[in-house]
Amino acid sequence: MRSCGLSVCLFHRGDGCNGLCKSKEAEIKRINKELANIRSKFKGDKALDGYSKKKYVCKLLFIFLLGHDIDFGHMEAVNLLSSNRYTEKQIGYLFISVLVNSNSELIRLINNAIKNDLASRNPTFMGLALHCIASVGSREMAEAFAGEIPKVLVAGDTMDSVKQSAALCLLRLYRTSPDLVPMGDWTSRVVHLLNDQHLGVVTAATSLITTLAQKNPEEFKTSVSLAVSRLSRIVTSASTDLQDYTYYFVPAPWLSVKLLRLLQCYPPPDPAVRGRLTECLETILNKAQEPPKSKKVQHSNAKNAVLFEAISLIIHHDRCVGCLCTGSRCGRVRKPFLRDYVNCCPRSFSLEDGRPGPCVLRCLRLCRLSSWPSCR
Amino acid sequence: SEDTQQQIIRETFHLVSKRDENVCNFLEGGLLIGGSDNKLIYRHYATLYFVFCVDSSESELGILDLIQVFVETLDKCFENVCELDLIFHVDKVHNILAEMVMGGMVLETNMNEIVTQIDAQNKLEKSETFIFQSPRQDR
Repeated sequence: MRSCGLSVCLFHRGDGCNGLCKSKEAEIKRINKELANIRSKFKGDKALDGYSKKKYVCKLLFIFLLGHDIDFGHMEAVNLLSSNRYTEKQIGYLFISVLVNSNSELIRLINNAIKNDLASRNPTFMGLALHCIASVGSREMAEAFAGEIPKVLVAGDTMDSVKQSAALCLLRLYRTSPDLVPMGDWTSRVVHLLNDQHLGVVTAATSLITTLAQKNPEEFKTSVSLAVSRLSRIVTSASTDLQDYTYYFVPAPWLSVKLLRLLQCYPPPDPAVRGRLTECLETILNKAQEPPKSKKVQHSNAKNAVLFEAISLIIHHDRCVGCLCTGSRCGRVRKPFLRDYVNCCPRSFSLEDGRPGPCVLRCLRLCRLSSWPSCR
Repeated sequence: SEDTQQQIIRETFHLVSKRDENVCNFLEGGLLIGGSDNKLIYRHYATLYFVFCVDSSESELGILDLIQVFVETLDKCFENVCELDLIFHVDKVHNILAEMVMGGMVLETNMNEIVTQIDAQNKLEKSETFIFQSPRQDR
């Protein structure tokens, strides 16, 4: 593997030194020697070819990861960005994502390179560029790209992997600079991504919508019914569907948790949708009480993650109804949602005098995961 | 800054290596990481600790399983991965992580999908090596 050669040669070169350095002083001496060598190569008269540049930038990165400080090499890394070769671009992006520099001239060059890659229509290059924006996420990048990325996200011809990256990149920019990401026509198209065939795209879109909906609930309220139908398709799927996304016999646990979190941004939906949601939650609670399909801790972790999030949603709906009932508009007494949901699981979630049984309360208290002992 | 980064790594290792085998996998971050808002979630495999520092955006049990997916993917890509693989193939490890996590959120959890992407990247790399064989004086 070529990359192995790049790193191993750091230690095998010169002095007849075979293998890793024996002591801290020897390591520092070796590192300094190498740094001096790289510095001279970068300053040299001969222009370095792409392979050498990449090799030295990679070495600098490795030295930084070992724990030593690096104060040069940024310019060469930025130069690598404009190369046409994937491997050189990749090392350049990796370097600038890890060693973030706030020199404004460099930032301008980096943004230029990213802009070219985003417009290149090559999904690999677009992926690298989006990744860099998401890792750095600086205000300058937000200013340059916050308008461009929604377009990439909703364009019809964007590949699935690029859509995923664009969704999370936009989310990162929104978190650091929310004022620079204006709502627009793209919001309704993003909601439609919840119906996408590729579950990775749905996962990324759900993460994005959950955060955006907290500040702009009106724009995204159509996502509730789509989320419920998606969730019910996952939860009721046979074990042979969703092959790739089934994790230790639990269907798409990460996506289920995210959809349940999205639903917690909104009050309980209207009756038609609510019926379907109730069925889903019933299924989740019932599955939690079945004997486990696997002894592995991963199976119980994933199952519990979905279960806890479902209980969180139930509590959230219960609280919402509680708030509504205190208003003077609410004439009739409404049955608490919690009792509705809990009614369907008589065994451990038993009801006493219309109040949730002790088992449910224990589960609800245990929703605070840092006090939950590791499942062994 | 870079100095703070190194300090955070040292402090994290210090906190995690003291942990007993059968205590909880979740602990609150040290002061440098933002105190009690952020948590450290870790798993111990032989001699290595994989530590993820998280806030509340992702499910905590989900992150525990994400570490498992990450390690299984490393095993698939490196064939019986060991510590030396992680040291000598830092860029490849970063690439695999880049397929799974982006901007601090979970990007992809399907191991087959991740491995397919990594294989495609390896093919791209090999094709570039083959076509552009430049004479190398010093290695």
